[in-house]
Amino acid sequence: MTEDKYLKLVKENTLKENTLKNTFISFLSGGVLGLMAEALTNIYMKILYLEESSALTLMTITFIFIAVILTGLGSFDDLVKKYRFGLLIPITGFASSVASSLMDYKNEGTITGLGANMFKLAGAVILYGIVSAFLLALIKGVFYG
Amino acid sequence: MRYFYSFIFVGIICAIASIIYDNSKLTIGHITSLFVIIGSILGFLGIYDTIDSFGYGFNLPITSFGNALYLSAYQGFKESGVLGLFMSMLKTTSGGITATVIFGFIVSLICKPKD
Repeated sequence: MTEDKYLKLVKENTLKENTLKNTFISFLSGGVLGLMAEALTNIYMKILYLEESSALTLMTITFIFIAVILTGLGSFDDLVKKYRFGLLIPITGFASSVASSLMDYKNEGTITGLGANMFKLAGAVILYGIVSAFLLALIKGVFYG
Repeated sequence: MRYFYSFIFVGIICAIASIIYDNSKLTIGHITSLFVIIGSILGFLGIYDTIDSFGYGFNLPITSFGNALYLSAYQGFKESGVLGLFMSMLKTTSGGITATVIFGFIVSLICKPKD
């Protein structure tokens, strides 16, 4: 086996292993966040006597609060490197992207810095969310009643 | 059992995102946008509503954002037609967006970027 071939083989195999590992880590960390969401909602409903919809909103806000604080302290990125998509796909990723763009563009002024860049990354989520929801709701309403 | 479903569902969604990211050139922004659209399509097909009743964890991933947008928009349409669509699009997601903006603003005033 030549050296080139060997290196190629090594590269292929390590990449595969990493992908598998990454997927597993994302699965686990995402799952743990899902567990916490379920537990928090139940706690809010039992202790604060909230309705289901209010408890769900409070649960979302709690996660956003934690994510924003962690972003402010600068440790969210390190956590993402460790736990990957388990933190990015839940609402925490959305909150952290807003908080980090706010912090990054702080020096450029309150309007042109903070205001103009706050939804730099999260804007795509809001844009395509609203556009797709609008079209689908319209289709459903008009054609299916 | 609800805890188990929450764990599995959120876990699988994050695993799918990880697989897409590792095997394509899409960025994280592409993937989250894609997931929001998938969420509203699942809501449109009535699937998200069914699985939603299995656990509260289902409300955490970004897919539920698309689903919530779709549901409140459709609710508004049923109540007052096309105008209702405009009026109630953000009804349920408003909590999340407002919290993000307020907390993010406060934190950006207090904290400085690490580097």
